[in-house]
Amino acid sequence: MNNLQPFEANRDFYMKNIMNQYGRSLMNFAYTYVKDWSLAEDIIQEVFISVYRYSELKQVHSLKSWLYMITSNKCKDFLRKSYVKNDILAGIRGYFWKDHHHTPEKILLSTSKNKMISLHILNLPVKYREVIILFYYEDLSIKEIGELLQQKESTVKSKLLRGREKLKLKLKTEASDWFE
Amino acid sequence: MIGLNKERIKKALNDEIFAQNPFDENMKEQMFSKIYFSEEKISSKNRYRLVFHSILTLSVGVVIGIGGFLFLANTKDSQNPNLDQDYSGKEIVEDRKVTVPNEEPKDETIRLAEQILTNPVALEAFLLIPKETQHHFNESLLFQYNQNAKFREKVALGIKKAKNLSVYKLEGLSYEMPQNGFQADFNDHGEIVYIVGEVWVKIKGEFHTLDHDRKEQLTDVLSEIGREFVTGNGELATPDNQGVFKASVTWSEVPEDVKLRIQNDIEKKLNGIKTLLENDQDNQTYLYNELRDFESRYKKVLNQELTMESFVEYLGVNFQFFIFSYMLLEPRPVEVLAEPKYRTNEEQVDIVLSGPR
Repeated sequence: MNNLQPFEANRDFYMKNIMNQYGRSLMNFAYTYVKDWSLAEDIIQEVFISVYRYSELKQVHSLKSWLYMITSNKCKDFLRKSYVKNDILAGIRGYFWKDHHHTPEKILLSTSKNKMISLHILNLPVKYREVIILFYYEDLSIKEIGELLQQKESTVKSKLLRGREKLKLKLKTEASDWFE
Repeated sequence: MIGLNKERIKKALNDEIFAQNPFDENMKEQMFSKIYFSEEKISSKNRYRLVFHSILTLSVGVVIGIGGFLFLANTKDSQNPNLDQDYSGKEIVEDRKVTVPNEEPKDETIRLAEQILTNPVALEAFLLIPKETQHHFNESLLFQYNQNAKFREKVALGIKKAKNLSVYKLEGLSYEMPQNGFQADFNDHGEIVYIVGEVWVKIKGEFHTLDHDRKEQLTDVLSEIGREFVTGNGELATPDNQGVFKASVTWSEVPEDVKLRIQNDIEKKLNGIKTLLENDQDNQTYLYNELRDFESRYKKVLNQELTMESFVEYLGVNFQFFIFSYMLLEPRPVEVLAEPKYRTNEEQVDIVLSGPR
């Protein structure tokens, strides 16, 4: 769906097609940043509003990359504004005592391996998480990731490597199942 | 290079995380209708703004025009109209033909800027911005540029450091960026806790004016019921890196004894709040209204069937009640601020410029 010449004439139709084709995957992608579906929904709403208003849409070379780039930028804008929430949680946790029978760590251990790897990926710092998701889940090449994130290919490769190393450390003994 | 198993990663993410994606036909329709609504809102806001600014500009233009005309007329009258005056001994200056320079047609951005930037300082500063960055200003950014001198300073700083500022960077500069550890209501800085929000400032202020008996009653009751954010069970701890307060387990995973403890906690809090409100039914200060609000929110949770939604509501009101109690009890020094401490312009510009485009 890159032929957008008639876009101006039938903007609504194309907008709905874009939402059909990319809505779900963009929401998944936004979720990997903000880790909350309602926030992801708000961000994707903003993405679609931006897309709808963009008058030069017919000149966009790769629609998918462009949509992901807008989404990534909007997520990071949000995270910059809300990063302090992590501080709140870190501070608040110190104010209550924990029952040692069921800690979140034990819950994590008792869950399936699939859930574990997913949670570990989502717990990576954003700069590694986004390249891991774009490379392994979205199947983008290093070059495409570099263009999307406006980074050099060497930077992307380095972040991919560091992200994998961090995951390997987290997975410890089960690493052989996940690494090829 | 050894890499992750792609197919396994995809399956894990699809099954465990993305399966919960709520995007469906209904959501899509709602998003689409919101696009229309936002367009309408922008157009009608724009229409109002453009009409308002057009009238203002026109009025100012008319006044200047009339004033200019009167000034010139006055000046001409006061000059010696005698064209035959003897200029001997002085250089004769030719009549110069006054040519109106051909103006280039203005681009849309400048046209828009002239309508929205009614502050002459803002307009003057905007015209000095490189064209490429000018074109990244939308109506909302122009409006803020007009109102906010700090934003103008940040843009000027940003342009000195970078060739071009994208719309994302401009948006990043348009709001005040709090310092690290000042972004939330409750900010623990170790030796001192900063509580941020105008309502908290008002409540704290009112607390200081209370008589001794009321103060004592508040601190006694809150010491009993307000010290813990949750009931003290690890399962109810909010997970790291969450932007909103949500439990780290689903409701079906929360054991029955924990559900019972939540219920007991709510009842205990309601009893305590009831005691505090008993003799102050008509007290309409912020402090006592806030207690009434807590009472109503806890009652709402208790009256509903305990579900994930009411559980999240419980965590939310508990957190607010915790801040309220902490602020009045002050187990450690507390400073209450109406607004967070903000980063300097220079710091914010550096942070925004270091981000992606």
